[in-house]
Amino acid sequence: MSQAPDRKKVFVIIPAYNEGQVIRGVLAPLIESGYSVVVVDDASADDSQTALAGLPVHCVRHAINLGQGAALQTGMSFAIQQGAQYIIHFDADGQHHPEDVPALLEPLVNGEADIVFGSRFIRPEDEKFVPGIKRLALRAGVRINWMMTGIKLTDAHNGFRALNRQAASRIYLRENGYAHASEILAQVRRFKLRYAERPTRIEYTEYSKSKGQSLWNAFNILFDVLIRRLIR
Amino acid sequence: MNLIQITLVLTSAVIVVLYFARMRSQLLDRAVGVTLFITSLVTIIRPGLTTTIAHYFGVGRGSDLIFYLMISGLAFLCVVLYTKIRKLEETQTIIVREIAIREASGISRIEDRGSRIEDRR
Repeated sequence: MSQAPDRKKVFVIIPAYNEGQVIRGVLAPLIESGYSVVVVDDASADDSQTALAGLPVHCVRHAINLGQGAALQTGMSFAIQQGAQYIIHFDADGQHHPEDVPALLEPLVNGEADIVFGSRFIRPEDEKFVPGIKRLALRAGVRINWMMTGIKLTDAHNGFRALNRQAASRIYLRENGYAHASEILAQVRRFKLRYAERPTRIEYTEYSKSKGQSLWNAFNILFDVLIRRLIR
Repeated sequence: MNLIQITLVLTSAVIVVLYFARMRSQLLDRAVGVTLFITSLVTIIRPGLTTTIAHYFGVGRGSDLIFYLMISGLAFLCVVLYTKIRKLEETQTIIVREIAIREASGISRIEDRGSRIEDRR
């Protein structure tokens, strides 16, 4: 492996909407690891701002709620402006593990890939944490993404990704909602970015389950993906 | 003329006047507006005409033909509005993003941090 990157140049982007009760706990290990942390507060109506006060993080705040995809794009634009070399997408609800970040960065640092996707379905020990019905929905998502974009990954809608500066500058998310995950794949294809997958652990706490997307939302996402293909 | 014919002619006249007074639109839009207005006038004054056209298209009654056309027109309108709303959302996103980034990087302080647009309405 090449030399590990300067962690200050690794920007971890965390879109947050009403995550006031858990956000400090999620940020602490990332700050401790020395990464540059960007919290994109998507106009939370709770005490998120108070919870963030005094933390050594960049706080970018949307004036109105736009959605997760929009928050990620804001975070990426900000990070690029601040001179980021690598960008990590990270969920605010505590389901990702900060220890997995170096493994995601590795293919970027070695110059083997421009974007690395985290996957819950590479190691059997990660997969067993995914509830059965969710597993089915994600399997279907994998197939739909494959059909629509020609890119076959083992996981769909895993919010844990790593991008190098070039990939983050090329990609521009227009899907403000959750359909951005498929949109990223479509753009990876369009810009011929090199991609890789790495295993990540996922923690389904009661909190993240309550905040996470319900299964029905899968239909909403599918609808969004289809309609945007027809109408631009 | 029947009372309904007078009512309909007046309604379309009012709509077309409002259309030209309020909307600043492209030439094509205006052409469509004028065509629609003339068509409605003709069909109101000569109600039998729609049935003749309907027969030509293999539809039994003139009112059925109008009904089908209205449904397609509505669907078309939905698509047009959807794309327009989508464009507006994109513009809005860009503005909100720009403000957020400027504020976070300390370029300029546009509004008090912590207060949301909804709160200030």
